[in-house]
Amino acid sequence: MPIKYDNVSFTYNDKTPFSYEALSNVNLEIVDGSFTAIVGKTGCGKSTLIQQLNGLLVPTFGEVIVNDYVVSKNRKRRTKKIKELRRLVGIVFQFPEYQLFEETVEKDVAFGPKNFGLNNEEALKNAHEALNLVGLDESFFKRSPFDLSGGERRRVAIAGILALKPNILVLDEPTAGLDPRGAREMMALFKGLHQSGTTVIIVTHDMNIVLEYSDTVIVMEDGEVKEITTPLQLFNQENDRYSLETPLLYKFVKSLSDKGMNLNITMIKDIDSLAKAIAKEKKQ
Amino acid sequence: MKGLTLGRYAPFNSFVHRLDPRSKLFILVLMMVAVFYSYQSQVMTFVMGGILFLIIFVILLVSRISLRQLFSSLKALWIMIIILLLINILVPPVNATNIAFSVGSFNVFWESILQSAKIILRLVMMISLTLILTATTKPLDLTYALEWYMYPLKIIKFPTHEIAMTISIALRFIPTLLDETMRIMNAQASRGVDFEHGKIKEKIKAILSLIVPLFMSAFQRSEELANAMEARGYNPRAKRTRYRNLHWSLGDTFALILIMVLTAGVIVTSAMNYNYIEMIFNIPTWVIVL
Repeated sequence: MPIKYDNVSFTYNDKTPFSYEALSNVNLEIVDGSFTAIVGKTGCGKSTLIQQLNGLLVPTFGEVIVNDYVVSKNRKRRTKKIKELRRLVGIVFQFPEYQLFEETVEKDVAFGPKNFGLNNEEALKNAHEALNLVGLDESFFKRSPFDLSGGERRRVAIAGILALKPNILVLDEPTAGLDPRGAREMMALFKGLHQSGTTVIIVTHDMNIVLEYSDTVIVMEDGEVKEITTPLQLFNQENDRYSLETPLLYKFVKSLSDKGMNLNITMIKDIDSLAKAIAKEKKQ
Repeated sequence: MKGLTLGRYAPFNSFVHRLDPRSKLFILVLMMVAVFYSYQSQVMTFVMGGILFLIIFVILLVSRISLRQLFSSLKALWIMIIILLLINILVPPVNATNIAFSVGSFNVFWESILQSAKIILRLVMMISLTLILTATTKPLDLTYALEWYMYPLKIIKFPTHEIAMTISIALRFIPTLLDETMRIMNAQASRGVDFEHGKIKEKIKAILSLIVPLFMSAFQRSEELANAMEARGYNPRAKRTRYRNLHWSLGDTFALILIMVLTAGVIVTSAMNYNYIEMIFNIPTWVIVL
């Protein structure tokens, strides 16, 4: 069940003096089970793009197809089962810790599943699973979300989406504002979900994350999709076309190469593979 | 959130936009007075109403406010218009004599219909006037104008600056809180909240899931703002300058005089009980009695 953007344009405040075109003629496909990163400058339309995935925004022109669900202005084509679509596509927004409102952590996480028709017990079971998944143990279940630290609240909010068991997980800057260790743990969690079959789409400014975790990169600029490629290809381009930062790992590999070490850059994706490549080079 | 764009400042550069907010505020008050003046004969009410309406319409065009915007702000008036008509028909004016038509033994008087029409015309003009003011003036400029008018109150130690500051902060945060509301609504909608449909119990829960986070962030924001202001040594009693100064231009004087003359004309017409129609056309008296 791939995701398909068919000629999607989106204008905010259409037909008013404030109209602003955030997306123009976006065509793209995201295959099942992929780990896709969307990169681009602030204001280039990334957030607008992902909000069309579960029908929070409806394209001004064109349509977005997820499975058999169509998000479109066309009354005949568009899906009537928007709620099903929203269960299928879980979106974690930027700074999700501000969406908590219940008295206890477990109630807040169970709120989503209950909205989608699970009974109290099932919802709580899902909630506990999701909370364990994000690394919060039983001692957190009965606490008020407002007593937690920022990082813990973020985990609760993400658990709130994971408890829906979405097939497609969309993350808008999930690591922004987290300490390095928290960010790593968070990404490890998403990697695990991806390995168990979830399609993951992540919006991020952190190129290290793009290189290490994603298999597809969508580069956006001024509301247009400029390139759909792999991280290796993107970071191996000579010219810095999109003014994206080079991942730290790549900077390191490039300076090693400049010093005369012969490394196969296409094989390096994380620290482990870098270590292997260096070891191999040393042996020769 | 579509409805909330009504009366929102639209960044054009028209004559009305360039006017000083102080003169615009004063003109609005004058025009309102003119709109609400009454006349002895119904015909004159409509003639003067028509003239004022035309003038307001021209100002609307000059301010580049689209008619679409006007109509959408009038949409909410429909219910009011119907209620007005009903009340006026069921409780006719005391001196009503001219029967328009009868339903059974119940008489519907022309006076009732005219009375409603008069009120509706005034309402439409009133809304157009406020629309012109808010669509052509930045909210912040409007606060400055208010502060300027409150200036004399400073003598009796009335905290004009603090009030202006409070209003401008409130205005400043309306869009921010709207954005915040949208964000939270989107986040909760992604968790399956349906803000439009559902039973009452579900709706309460849905609104709760919006209000609680909204309040949390609003309180947090206000605390941050207070800290930021204190950190920069904010003191409400200190003498301060502004980045944007209000600037009275020749256009303001011109516009103000024009509207003053207009209002004076309206007052004189009403006070002296002039009847232009009678003067010009010499219409038979029964129409005028009406």
